[in-house]
Amino acid sequence: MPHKGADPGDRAVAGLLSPRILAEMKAFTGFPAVPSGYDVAGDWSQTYRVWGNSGRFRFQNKDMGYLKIARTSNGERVEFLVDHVLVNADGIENIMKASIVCRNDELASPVRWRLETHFTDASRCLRPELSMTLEGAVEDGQAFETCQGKKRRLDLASPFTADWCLIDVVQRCQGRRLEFTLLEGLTKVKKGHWINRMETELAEKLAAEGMRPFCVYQIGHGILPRQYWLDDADRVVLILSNAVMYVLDDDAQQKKEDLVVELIKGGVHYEY
Amino acid sequence: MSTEPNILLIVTDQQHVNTISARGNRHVSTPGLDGLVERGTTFQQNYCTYPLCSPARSSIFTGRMPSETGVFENGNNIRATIPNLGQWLGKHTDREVVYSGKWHVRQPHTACIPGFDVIASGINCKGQEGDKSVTQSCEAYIRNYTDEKPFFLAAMYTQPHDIGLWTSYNFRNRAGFPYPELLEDLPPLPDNFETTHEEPARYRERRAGSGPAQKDEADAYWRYYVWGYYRHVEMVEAEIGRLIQAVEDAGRLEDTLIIFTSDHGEGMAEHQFRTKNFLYDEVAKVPLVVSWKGVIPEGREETAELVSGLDLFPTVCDYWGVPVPDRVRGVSLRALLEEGRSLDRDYVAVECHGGSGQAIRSSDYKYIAFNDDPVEMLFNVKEDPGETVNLARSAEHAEVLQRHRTYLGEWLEGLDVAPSVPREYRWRASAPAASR
Repeated sequence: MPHKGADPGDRAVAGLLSPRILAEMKAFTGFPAVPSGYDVAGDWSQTYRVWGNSGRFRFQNKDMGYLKIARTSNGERVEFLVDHVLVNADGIENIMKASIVCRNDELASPVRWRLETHFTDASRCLRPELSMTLEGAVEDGQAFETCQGKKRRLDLASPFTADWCLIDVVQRCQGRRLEFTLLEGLTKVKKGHWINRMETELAEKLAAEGMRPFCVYQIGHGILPRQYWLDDADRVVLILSNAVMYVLDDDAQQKKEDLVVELIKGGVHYEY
Repeated sequence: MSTEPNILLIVTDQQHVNTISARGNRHVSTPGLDGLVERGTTFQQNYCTYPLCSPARSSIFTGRMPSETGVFENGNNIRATIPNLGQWLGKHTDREVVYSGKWHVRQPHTACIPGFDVIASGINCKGQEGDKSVTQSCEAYIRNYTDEKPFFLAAMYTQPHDIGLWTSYNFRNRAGFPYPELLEDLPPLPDNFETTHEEPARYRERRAGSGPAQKDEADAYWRYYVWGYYRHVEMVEAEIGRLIQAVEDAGRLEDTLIIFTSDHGEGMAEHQFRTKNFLYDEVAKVPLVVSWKGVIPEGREETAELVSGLDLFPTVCDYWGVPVPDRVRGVSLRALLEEGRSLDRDYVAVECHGGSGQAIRSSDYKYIAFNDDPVEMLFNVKEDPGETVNLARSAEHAEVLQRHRTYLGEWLEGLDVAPSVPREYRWRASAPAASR
């Protein structure tokens, strides 16, 4: 049954939300061109638009923010700079800025990290009482975090990696199965994760134009299965998990700005 | 230690009562909630007032039944004459009363909730992303809080509610099972998956339309749905674990009352139902764990006392020495929590106008009746917790049935039904159970 307020001509997503269906509903229209000299194992920067689906083609599908990840490598170490914004109702922004220094191994294993989180109010003013800083590091094989001056040991067994590093891991893994513990958002430890390559026949049914006919999926405790879809340059162009998509989009930051302005003006209302 | 604690109210959305690994479910991993269970008192007989988001939430925040608050379906405002908890605490104290996450009385997510300082509003129907903001805002608030006065903080998560989208995609998936390597490890179907007892027509109709479209593989898709539901639960419980860690890191476990519950439950394939808005226990019962280090007994399991979402409002008032508004239906759980003193309750009630039904749960039985269907259901929930044998037509249970009809009539008679409640939803206007 349609949600209250749905366009009667709108139709349900009658099957798995896939890149092919997302393209059909115009949740994305192609991907940015591959930068010249692009190398998945080199330095790159990729920006993703965060978008959510309501189970229908047109009703209440919306942008929710962006994720920008920049990778630099010096051979022995890899560093990721993360800029992630989630836009809450009425334009409240949840801003995350992180740096993660990792070993240059197949899991981009973090050795040192820092996270800042901030919130604005519905008039775009920063609320300093809601800002927080966390630092983490692996010392003698044991992971620790220090948050607002309080240090504690993490129950974080190796091998582990962070969700923000996984884009890089997937781009380099060539579909190999890898097992690890997930440090999600640099704050939550989730055990029993693996990535693997989806069986080709199914992936071919689901892929959209501009993608390789396979994807890498991630399964584990505390997440919904997550699919990473790549292009011919091995860039992750789409991450899909249940109703949420992160799609490579060079305009994602501007679209976030437009969304916040519209929400604050009261131009977007959601009901369900 | 303050004599009046900080109060951290944590509410998930659509969490089945049996989804905490410390309570014996080996198909789900919930280390954060397990820690809370170890530190607090867990109620096994806790009921929401209405297994649907807005109505249930209206009761949590007013202590009144949904038919009284006027929130008889999703998306209604609370009756203007009834204060919500934020307004009430603001009126009687000068403390910070803070809110983060889903509201849904009326707007699902909003920065403007009467009586509360909203620090994060969440993202509509996307707990997968929005719940991160709930945790981060609450965590920062707790870690940075320096005032001597206690605070009230509501952390209102949206997960595992996103399961509704999961089934809408996966129960219509014709492309093939996406992750065959999972097939061997999917959880089994529940013991009460099959339903053979007499039910109202709408329950049978609903069941016929709610299963997977993959008829040949229906069992696998039902089991995959339960597997997916557990992952939804784990997502939100990881957020809760992080939040409770922040309370501990801030050195506030000994001055913070933590209340964890959910607005309503989830079908989880029991009776071949999914989502909510019916009256079996899978959606009517919800988890409730309460802890306050050094004050409330640790690791205690309360299996007998009947409690309700109505009780949270008066419990919060009690812990802050605030009077309770007139006509609040719930009672404070404080004496039960701290001293084990019984509530001496004969029953709790659940309503569900979307199904035009009412349920009465007594110590051993559960009675369900409907405004627009003559079928009654009576279950001996002590012996049949899965509600699989309807005893309503059993001659040897005639007295039990009549007693529960009387309970229901008595309960309905005491309600101050909101003028906005439509006639077809009003029991006394159509078919009072006591007169059947």
